Amino acid sequence: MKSKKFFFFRLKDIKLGLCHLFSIANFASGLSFFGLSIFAQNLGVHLHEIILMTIIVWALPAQMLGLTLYAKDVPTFLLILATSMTSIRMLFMTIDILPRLRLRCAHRITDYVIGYFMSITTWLEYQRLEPTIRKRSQRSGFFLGLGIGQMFYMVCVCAIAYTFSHHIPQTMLITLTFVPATFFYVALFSRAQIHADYWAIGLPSVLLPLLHFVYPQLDILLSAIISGSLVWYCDYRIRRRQHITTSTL
Amino acid sequence: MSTYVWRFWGVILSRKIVEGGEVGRYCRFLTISVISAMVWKMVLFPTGLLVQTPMAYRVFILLSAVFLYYISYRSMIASLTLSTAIFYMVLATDLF
Repeated sequence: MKSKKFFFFRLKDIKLGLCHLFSIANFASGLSFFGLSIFAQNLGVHLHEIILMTIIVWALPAQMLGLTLYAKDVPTFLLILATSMTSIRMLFMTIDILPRLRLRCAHRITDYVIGYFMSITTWLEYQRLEPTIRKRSQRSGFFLGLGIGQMFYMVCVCAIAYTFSHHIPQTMLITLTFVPATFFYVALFSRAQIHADYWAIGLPSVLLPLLHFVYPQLDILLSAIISGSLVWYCDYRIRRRQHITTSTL
Repeated sequence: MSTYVWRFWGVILSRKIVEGGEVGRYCRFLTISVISAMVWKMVLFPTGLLVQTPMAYRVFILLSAVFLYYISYRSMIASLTLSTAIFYMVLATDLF
């Protein structure tokens, strides 16, 4: 029997991804939207505007920066440029994930739909859940389900935070705002598969503070590029040496 | 538009990339590094509500979360719950 389709994706696979709606990942990253909602509320941005912004932009750091610059009356061109620089991670994440999801027979539009739902949380969750997906053909639908579920969850959190944030004590609010950072960092350790992954996690902690004092606007990007390249090069050299040693024996 | 530029380029460039190849591996390291760098930026140079907390507290909580993850037999729930509870207690009582 042929399964029903939704926009080139099989509904069965999307549902499989949606099953992970109430995960620790969504709960932890949802807390970061508390900060965004409160910030937007203080700036006088309406609830429907912040919800629409979440759906359209779908990148929290870009939203935060966009709102900050909007409050400072920065020209639109500079606003676009600045928010664009904070979202370069989307490029790396999409390049990493898409070759694993793509099918030869699939329509190209599916890639763009998947790209739209790319975020740190979906990337981290997909790394964890990929081994549980039986068939390769299910992957793209599964990822879409993860993305839709996450977006729905974040929109709900935004609305709740916007409405009830004034009733939460300040200390609790600060504590909750820090949970996403803790989750992302611990999740990186939990998803690490090889030694080089640990180096890629650790190096930015040294490079970022140094680069922040030289290029404060580009510190994240530069430290990520330097660390990633260095780790890849060392990993490549080690693998090559091991390969030569094995073939000589 | 500013975020879609990168997503769009990601889709275009990924067409040339083979699964399990060197470029894919390189991008994986870049992604891990960029997430780690973002976390450290949030910890060392925060904006918003976190500015009100001392840097030493934030660094301590982040590292203790990783430590708790390993000593709790790789339990994410235990690590997050305990580190958040410690952070709340430290802030509420101003222990240090």
